[in-house]
Amino acid sequence: MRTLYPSLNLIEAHLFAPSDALMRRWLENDPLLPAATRAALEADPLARSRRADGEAPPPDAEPASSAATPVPDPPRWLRERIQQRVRAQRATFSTVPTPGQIVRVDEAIGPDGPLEHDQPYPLAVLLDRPTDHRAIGYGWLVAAETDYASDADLILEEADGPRDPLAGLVQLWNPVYVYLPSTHGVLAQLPPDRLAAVRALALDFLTQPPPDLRPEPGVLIERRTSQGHRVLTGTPLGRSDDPRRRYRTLYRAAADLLREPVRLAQVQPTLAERLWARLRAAGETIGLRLILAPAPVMGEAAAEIHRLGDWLELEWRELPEETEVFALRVRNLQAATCRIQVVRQNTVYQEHVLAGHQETRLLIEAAPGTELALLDERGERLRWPLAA
Amino acid sequence: MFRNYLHDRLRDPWRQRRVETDDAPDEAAAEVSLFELLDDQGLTVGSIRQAADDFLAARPPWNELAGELWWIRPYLARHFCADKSEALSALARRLDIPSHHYKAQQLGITVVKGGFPTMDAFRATHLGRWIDRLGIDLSGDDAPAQVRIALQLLCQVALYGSVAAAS
Repeated sequence: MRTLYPSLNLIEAHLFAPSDALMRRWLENDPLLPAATRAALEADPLARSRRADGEAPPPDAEPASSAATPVPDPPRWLRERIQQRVRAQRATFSTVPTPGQIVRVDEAIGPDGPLEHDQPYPLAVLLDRPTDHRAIGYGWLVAAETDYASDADLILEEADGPRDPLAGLVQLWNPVYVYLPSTHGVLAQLPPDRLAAVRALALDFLTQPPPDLRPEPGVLIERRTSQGHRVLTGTPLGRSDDPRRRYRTLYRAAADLLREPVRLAQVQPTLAERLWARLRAAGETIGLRLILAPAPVMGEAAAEIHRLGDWLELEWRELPEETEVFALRVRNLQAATCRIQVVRQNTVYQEHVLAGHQETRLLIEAAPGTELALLDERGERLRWPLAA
Repeated sequence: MFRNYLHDRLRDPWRQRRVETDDAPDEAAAEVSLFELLDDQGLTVGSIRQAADDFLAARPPWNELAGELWWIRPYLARHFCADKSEALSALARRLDIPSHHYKAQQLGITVVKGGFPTMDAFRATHLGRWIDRLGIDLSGDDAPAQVRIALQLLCQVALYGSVAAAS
């Protein structure tokens, strides 16, 4: 069997050993370091060994090297990697998360900020598609170690464009959801035909018998998906001693780092849910109930329609490209004219005069202190908060 | 291929409502009657796809599945969408799924010989809970057909995602 590079122990250390930043905090006795983290470090042999190295007295001064000693050239493979990374960093990728992008995740960040999970090594995800949650994408984990490719790993190639060396293969056996605010830049952008090839191989993996190939760790095979795409993959997994089995176990565990931000984002109320909750609570204090309007008899309602007492009808619309901006259709349910205002910190940002049963559409930023105000003909005002 | 057939059939089931000139009932008509069965329960293809998406994305109340989807998707695909069946043990070996039989039982796709001993035993599985939450009455006469179509839709979403599956 070929020796695969890097070794599994090195991959495990990259993925799960304490990060340099965490080691520094431990060595410096950072008082903000949680007790549980400190205890875990003290129990970890690798961390203890690194601490001992860090605390050892400096070795006796060595003779200063001669200024004339030439610095050796880096090996060719390292030069190529550096050049590959530089090309990827110079490339212009869309800042909007797009299917086909390979995004980098350096740190677990949830809706309320960093989760303080120690992540020593960046992870990468190929985005396949958006989900119902605007900040969560679906895709597959991407890794650098092409030696460990199986028949369910697609090898990325030169023709895939500028690409950071972190993006070597797509792990189609390791599907993940990623909370997009956790991402830190784009490592590559696969063109549509290559993304189609990735999807075709993923579909084959789920629905077709495995390819009739001998398991050979470290060997890459050019083959066709059932839809005809040319792809480069590894061979099927072999017996229990096949090192790619442990490789998969390591990367499945690594994928757990992506799950907590996604879970937190999923349980967080959406912008619409927060809006309705505020309107409902505020309405109850003034005896003006927020009720869900009955769906139209004909056709299917595209969005839920609410009524604030018998004054206003409200329909909320999500804006997919925006995060804290929403559209609100407001209809005057009374026969008399009224005025609608969007107010923030006592400044009127928008005002619309609505004749009886007339409606208007508002584009509102859910910034702190934003309120919706209703003024009748006499100027008497009711206010509802739209944001915290 | 079966999955393409299924995909076409489920793309717009209402389009399948047509007057048959042949006296013999064909497969399309049978599928139409299946969708009518769902309709009777107040279910739509859209609502089932949404529920499938929630399940497969481990959204509440399915948070506990977040770390399990890597094996749930292939199990679903192999059972409900695959062109050729593959023994569970072979699939588990290929994907390196530890405790594969226990996992399959938890999911609700295999049991000890003789089938689920009680309806409650199936309801305790992930798929049983999902079917239950959909509102399908497992004790009803039409339950087997309704469950079959719901699981096929779940599988379709597992393969293509809810948006692609609906297009």
